[in-house]
Amino acid sequence: MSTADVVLALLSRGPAHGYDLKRGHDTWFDQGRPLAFGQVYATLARLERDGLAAVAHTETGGGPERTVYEITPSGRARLAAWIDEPAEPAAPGADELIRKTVAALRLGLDPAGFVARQRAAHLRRMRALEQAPATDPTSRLVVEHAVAHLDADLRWLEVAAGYVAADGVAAPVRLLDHVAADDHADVDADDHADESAADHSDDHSDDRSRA
Amino acid sequence: MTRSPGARSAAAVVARSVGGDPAERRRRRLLGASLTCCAAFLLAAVAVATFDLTGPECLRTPAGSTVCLAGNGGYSVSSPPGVSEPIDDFTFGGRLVPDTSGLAPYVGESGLRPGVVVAALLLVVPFAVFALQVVRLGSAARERRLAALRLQGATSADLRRIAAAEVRGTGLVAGVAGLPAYLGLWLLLGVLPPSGWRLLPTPGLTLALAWPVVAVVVVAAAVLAARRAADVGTADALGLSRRRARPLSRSSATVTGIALGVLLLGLVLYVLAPNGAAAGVVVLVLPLVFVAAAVAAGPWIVVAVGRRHIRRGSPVAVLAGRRLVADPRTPGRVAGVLLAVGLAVGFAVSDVIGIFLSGRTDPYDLAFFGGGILTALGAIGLAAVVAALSLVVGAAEQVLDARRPTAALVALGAEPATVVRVVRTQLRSVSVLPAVGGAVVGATLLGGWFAVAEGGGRAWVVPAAIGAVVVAVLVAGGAAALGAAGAQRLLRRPLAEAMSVESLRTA
Amino acid sequence: MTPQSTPGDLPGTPPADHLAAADRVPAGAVLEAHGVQHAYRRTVALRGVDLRVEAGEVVAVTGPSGCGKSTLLHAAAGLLVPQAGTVTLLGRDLARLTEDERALLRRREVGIVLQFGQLVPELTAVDNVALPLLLDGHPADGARRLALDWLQRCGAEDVAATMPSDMSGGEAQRVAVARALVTGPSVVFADEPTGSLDTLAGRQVLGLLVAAVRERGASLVIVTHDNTVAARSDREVRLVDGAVAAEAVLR
Repeated sequence: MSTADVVLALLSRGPAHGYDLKRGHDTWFDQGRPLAFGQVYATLARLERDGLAAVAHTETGGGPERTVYEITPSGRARLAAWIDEPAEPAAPGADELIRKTVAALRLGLDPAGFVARQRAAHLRRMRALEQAPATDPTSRLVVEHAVAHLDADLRWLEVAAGYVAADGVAAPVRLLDHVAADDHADVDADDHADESAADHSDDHSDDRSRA
Repeated sequence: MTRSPGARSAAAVVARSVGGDPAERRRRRLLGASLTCCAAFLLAAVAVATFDLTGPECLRTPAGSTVCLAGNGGYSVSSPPGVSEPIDDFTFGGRLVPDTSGLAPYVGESGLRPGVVVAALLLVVPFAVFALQVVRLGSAARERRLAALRLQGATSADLRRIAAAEVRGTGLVAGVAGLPAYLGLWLLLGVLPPSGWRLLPTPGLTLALAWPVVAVVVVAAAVLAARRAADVGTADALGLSRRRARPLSRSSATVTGIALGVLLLGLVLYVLAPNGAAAGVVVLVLPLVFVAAAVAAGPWIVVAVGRRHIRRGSPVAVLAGRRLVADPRTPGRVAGVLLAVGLAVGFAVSDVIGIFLSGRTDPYDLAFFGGGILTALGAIGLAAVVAALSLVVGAAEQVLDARRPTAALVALGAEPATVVRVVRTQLRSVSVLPAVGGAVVGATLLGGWFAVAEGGGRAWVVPAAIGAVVVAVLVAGGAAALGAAGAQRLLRRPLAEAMSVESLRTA
Repeated sequence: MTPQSTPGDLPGTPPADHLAAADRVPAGAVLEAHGVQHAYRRTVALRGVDLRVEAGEVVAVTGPSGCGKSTLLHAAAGLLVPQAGTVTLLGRDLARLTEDERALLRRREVGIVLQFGQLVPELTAVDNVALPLLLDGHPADGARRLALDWLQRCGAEDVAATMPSDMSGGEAQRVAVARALVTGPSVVFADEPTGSLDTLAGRQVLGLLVAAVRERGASLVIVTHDNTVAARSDREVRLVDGAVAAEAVLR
């Protein structure tokens, strides 16, 4: 529902038609993917259905007819609730980066080279973002967020490179622990070792035979 | 006692735990040595001052008879076997030599003895300056330690207590070691020299009585200095990462003003009534006041010299000047001692010229003045060497403290020779300059007085007085330059270490 | 993608005096290090590192702590002579220069920015910035004026008369950047220039440094463990355990 929430936020500034909303979205997130027209109207229809937005009036200027929408009181409540609620931290393991890294480490497919290439790719992306001209304060903020994420990925890759270099015992599993410290926090370290000792030794011999 | 036992034990723990640090151990050894010397010279002053209390005043004839004055104004004569000589008033007039039990005349004669006491007290000053320097030593590390304690909730009273605990033991050991040190000094100056040249009397009962008093005085002074060192406001959170500048405060200006005022008052008193009873006291106290004033005024002289360097504009001069101005106290005290040393050299040299002018050729007179001047020069030399050592200790501290900026200075493209020149300029400004200044003033004052009083209109009086000034400047300036060069030599290694690229890795 | 990738050694690298000319065309390598090895008493810092920096290039040297990146920077700037290997800075073999000649080269052609604590504590900001010029015998008035100009460009004119102990970390680093640039260097070496600053102040100082270097067409070698700093460079050289582990062209 995140697009709907952003559209509600844009609508809360005052009545607007679909094109205004798309433009507003693209200004706010100028480094991101532009909002498709189809998505705008589908979203507006859903908001109207749920009573969060309503048609204010219909403009008939020189061109085609345009419907102007406005936010309803329950839409405002919904917007306030959205802002109130902290965003869900990203779930671990869902990222392509992690999938590839773990696969490269598990399979011993030139993991050092993979990490180096991935690092270069991340740095290049970061560099491009850093060089993007700052059009307005919040668009710079969006860039900062992307940079911070890339930086987090890069740090994680450094940890991964450390495992590659150390050829540590059960490296990939611990690497995942690193990613999802929260999720694994409830598992006691001792338990962890006991439960999965057998699995780990299997994995390890497996890695070696392939390497 | 309102002190909480907790704070006291904390102070003891901190004091003990830092004792293992090699730099701290070195600091304690230096502090102990300098305080021991202070105690020894204090005891020497006591020994000389109380010497005449132990027996009647006696004189000896050239033939060997001893004539002792009795309390009622009469006298008794005792002659060695086989000697018989008449003692009459004429003999009293000029032929008698004081029986000083082998002591030098100015120690043996009661009228001159106070001057020797003053000299012994004056010799305490360079050692005290050195000790003060050592108390402040390791400032950066100690400041960080105190700041860390501060962050953990130590009050400034706690910090003072800790600082006091750090020196109390050392001070006590030094105070107690004062007596053995004095005995060593006595062997050196009171036993080894030939009869008539001995400077220290045989130890008596008063020495044993003075011993604990001197020990307590030394401990109290060390604790006071340490508390002050912990109390200058350096121990705040800034001390963790940055050093604070310590510009001269109003209170140090007040102290300097009072010292100079007292000095001026004494001089006026002496000039107004040169022969009164007060003048006698003034003449004795004046040197002490002068040295106190010089040590108090030293930092201001250093600031003035530093400012002059800054105005000169060349990078070396500016850097040296700024460093002098940034922390003028430590080099300032040394400059004060060296100013006094220069003055004393000026006096001594003029004295020689004065004797020459007065035309005294009596062997007794020559021995009296010559011996006195030689002894004075020895004492002056000792003071100068100790002052030079203070200079080394202080400069080494500054070099160590400024390790990282020094390395950065070299990194940005200063030749190592430039950095060495900065340090040399600093050392010379606080040594050669004050010593030469003191020598000029001393030689001009006393030499001028001799020229007026004893010259009697002879044509070569003025050139002789000018010669005295030149000789005094050469002696004092040369000695100070030598001291500065020696200090720089001793600083070569710490300086090279500071300039090395590895200093960039230090905090 | 290496810019002006000229193969092999560059005998034609103009001597440093020519490079000092204001409008010089970026051409050739300003720094060439070959097989640089260096060990401290107990640890080996560099085990045969090659590093080549083209004129006008911004190179980041990254790697985990203790990988030898600072030692490499010190060797490249002539602050230490490595135990093996050659370093040619601005066409001069550093091992053949005396200590004073290296100091002179740094003073005139090289700017250096360190993590912290590089300003002379007894000098005001403007005197700190003017120092390299003064050491070089420039008249004081002109040196101060130029220093003030650079402080302005670095956004530190407010602290011109301030002592380093009274500056914030960011202000001190701005002053350090001004001091590194005041002589118009052909190459600037920076060792963790933002390491002691918070994110925002660090970013500002870094932006300032990179922009000023690019504007002059000078080269910048920046040692950092901060990825966002590395991302400002044209090329990343990654050191691991005293050897080049990877190189990535970023532009």
